[in-house]
Amino acid sequence: MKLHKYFCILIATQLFAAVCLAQSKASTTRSYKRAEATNGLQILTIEMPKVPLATIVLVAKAGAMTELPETNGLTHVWEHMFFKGNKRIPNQEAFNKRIRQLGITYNGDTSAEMVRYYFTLPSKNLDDGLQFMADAISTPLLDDKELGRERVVVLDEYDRNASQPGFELFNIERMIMYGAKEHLRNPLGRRRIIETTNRNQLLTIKSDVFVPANSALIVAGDVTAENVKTLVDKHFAAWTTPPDWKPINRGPFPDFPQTTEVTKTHPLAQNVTQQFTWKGPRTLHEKSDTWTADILLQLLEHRSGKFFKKFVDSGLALGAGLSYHSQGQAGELVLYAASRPETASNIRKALLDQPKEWVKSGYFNASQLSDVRRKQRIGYKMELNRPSEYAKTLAFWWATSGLDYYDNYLSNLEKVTLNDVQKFVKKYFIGKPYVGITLLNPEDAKVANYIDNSAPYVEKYLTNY
Amino acid sequence: MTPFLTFLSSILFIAAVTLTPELSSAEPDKNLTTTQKLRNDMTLISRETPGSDIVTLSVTFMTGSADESFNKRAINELAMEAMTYSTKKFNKAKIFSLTEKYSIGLACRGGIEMSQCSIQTVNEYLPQAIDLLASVVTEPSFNKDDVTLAKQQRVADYQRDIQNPESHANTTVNTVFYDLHHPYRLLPQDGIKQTESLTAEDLKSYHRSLLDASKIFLTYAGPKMSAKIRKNIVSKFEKISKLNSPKKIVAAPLFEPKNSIAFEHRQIPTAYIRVKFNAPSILAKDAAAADIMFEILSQKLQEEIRTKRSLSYAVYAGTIQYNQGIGVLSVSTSKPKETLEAMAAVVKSFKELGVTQEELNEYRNIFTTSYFLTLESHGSLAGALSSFQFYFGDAQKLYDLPQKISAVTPADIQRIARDVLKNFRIGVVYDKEKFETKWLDVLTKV
Repeated sequence: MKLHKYFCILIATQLFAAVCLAQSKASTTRSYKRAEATNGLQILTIEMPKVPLATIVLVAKAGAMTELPETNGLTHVWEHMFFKGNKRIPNQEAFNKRIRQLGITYNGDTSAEMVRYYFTLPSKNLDDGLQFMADAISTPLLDDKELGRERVVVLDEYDRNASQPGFELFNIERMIMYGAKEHLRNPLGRRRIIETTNRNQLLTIKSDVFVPANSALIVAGDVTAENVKTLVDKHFAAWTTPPDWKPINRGPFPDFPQTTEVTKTHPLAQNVTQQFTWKGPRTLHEKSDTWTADILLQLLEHRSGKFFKKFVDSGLALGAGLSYHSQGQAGELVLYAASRPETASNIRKALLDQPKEWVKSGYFNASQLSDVRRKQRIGYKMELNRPSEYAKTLAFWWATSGLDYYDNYLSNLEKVTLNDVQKFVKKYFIGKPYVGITLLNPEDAKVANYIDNSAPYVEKYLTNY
Repeated sequence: MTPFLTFLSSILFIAAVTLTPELSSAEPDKNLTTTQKLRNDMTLISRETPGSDIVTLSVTFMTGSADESFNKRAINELAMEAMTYSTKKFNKAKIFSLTEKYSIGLACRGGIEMSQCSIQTVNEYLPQAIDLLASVVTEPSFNKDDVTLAKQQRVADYQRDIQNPESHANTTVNTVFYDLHHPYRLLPQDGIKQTESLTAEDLKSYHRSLLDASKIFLTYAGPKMSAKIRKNIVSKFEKISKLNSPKKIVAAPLFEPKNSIAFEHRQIPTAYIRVKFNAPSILAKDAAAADIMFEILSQKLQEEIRTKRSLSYAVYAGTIQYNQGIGVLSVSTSKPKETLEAMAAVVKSFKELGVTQEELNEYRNIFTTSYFLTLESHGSLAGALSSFQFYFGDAQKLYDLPQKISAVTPADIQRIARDVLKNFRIGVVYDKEKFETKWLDVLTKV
């Protein structure tokens, strides 16, 4: 699973920009110990005492996918409120002071299928750190005054996203693909909804998704599983799941639309960016296809491969590839390229012709497949090399795909054949509808001979957005 | 500023910590780091990382864009980009094949004061990786096709900086922070022009100047280095001659009050404001105290502007520590007038009141965590060791930083704040209909 650098959909609370991240996957050798707290909270401990630090990640199966159209973006607002006061810590000033006392570096992020809060601190402060996390998740004050202040901060974050040339076009693309349920893939939400967030909405979100049965705690570094379990039971016991609680299911997405292409100009776009999105497999539904998707995208990245040579090494494009972001409930296969305007038209044609090339004998070979598998295994070692980051990776997979999926990932990848890849391409690409978007500046549009056809889409989707 | 040097400066910033009980465990870390002088006087720093078979090996050139003339600074990044494309021993197909087969991460990156080529792989494939790295460093081809491709990639990188409003705010303030000829100045628009005019011959000539053993060192982080691997590394890099070429001395950017503000119109919903000013050099005795001063100021700005006043999602202060230090204040806001007033008030109060010992102790706790995060992975560890070798001539100084931080007092913080927080140069990227430059007066008069 990888996201390419041009587009991303994850929102970080304390960082200054949206973050793209690619989470690598696991080996067949389990790197963590699993337990369940007395309140039902899943505990995953990664014992790696490389340095005297502990990283604590609390993750919930929440995000855009658990929202309603009228609450779109509020899980992200809730994430911000997590860093405010709670029953033990009266306000954010005190919260910040406690962070400094414990030596915590922290952040949080919200995406379509996951909310994570995470921090790293000296391992001698693990006890206090777990209490700090427990208080924040279980007894947030969600104070009206604090909410009023934080709303404005979230709006500035929104405006930073809106300052990017592609903002409107990517919103249009999502709305075309997911129709009435587009909000389920939009963690940033809508400005007008954020502007009117109230405390009751956040309390509803808390009881709907931020409960132990819907969450996991990952602790990594200079820690032991036994101690972590004892401390979690000590501090998280009062955080309980309501007896009638059920996981939220917003139902299936509408059928993928017919092929649609939208070109939009923006004066600040510096190059031509084109991407074509097909409906892809989901880790909770079409599991074996998701493994094939990962193999396919890495075969396309292989620098001795035909795709890389044609688009990147030749200089035809400034960058090109297939991105596939592993998600449980929605799959997107995105074929993309960035280029100068002179080559944009050729690239568009060549990209759309690609899937037919991929099924030809000899396009990929066994040696490349072997390299890809080896790369996965080494990539996993690299991931383990940084426990503070690996804890977040594990949280991602727990929330979006489940640990069974993650634990067996590499062994399942080993089973994918080139024949499977061909079948996959026929199943998901050839003859299937796609949604294409192109972003470029007006001068480049003239050179590329592209016409901005976005007006009706802007009117349909972005009026009153 | 290039992404690479942002990374390096953040490593230095991260590495600034205080002495706490945890740091007693840093002593073994120090003992795991050794240095060896090669016959050509090149230094090989080796840091053993028990329990892991991942290896990072980097070659640092003590040369960057600042060492070039003002109209040729883009050559550093371009040369670094092109070096990995093909060499005399390994053509492009071979490099692709090797890096894919052995999963070798190979990269060369330019920077303002130093540049670096590195590989990361697992110990099993280290011999192949060393061969490749040595060839990339000593005998890149710079053939015409490679250079054309590298130029295209570099131009695209500069264009991405121009497109991103936050990067562009940095560019905007740089137009007034640096005079045209200052060694640290390289605006993306100039970078594009320079890159387009450079030739393969220019790169070959530049590369010859890079190959000076007196200005190169090696950093290894990985399992205990076997005698065979050590011999392999030494033999590959000992061939580089020692030239003792002079190092350029960089002066601090001059402050011109009449040319201290730059505004760039963009119709965007939030203003990006970036402030720069002179700060202590990384070599100054106040460097560690300056690090803490900026961290505390950053927290105070966030507390006032984000937490209490809700004026911004992103406000921070920081320092970029080169041979000449640079202070930075940065904010995005849709209420620029109020935000600028609030920033000015925080800076003024900070200079007047300083910090308490309790506050200082609290920030040291954060530094401790950041320090160990730096030591956690091979990449960041090798990067930090390289930075200390480059600036101090001794990688082991990385482990001395905690003591330096522990010696900082509240009086030091206040003294540095008063010395440094002045002569602001300001760049703004925003809608001209929503902004008045006179609002900046409040900050320029602090």
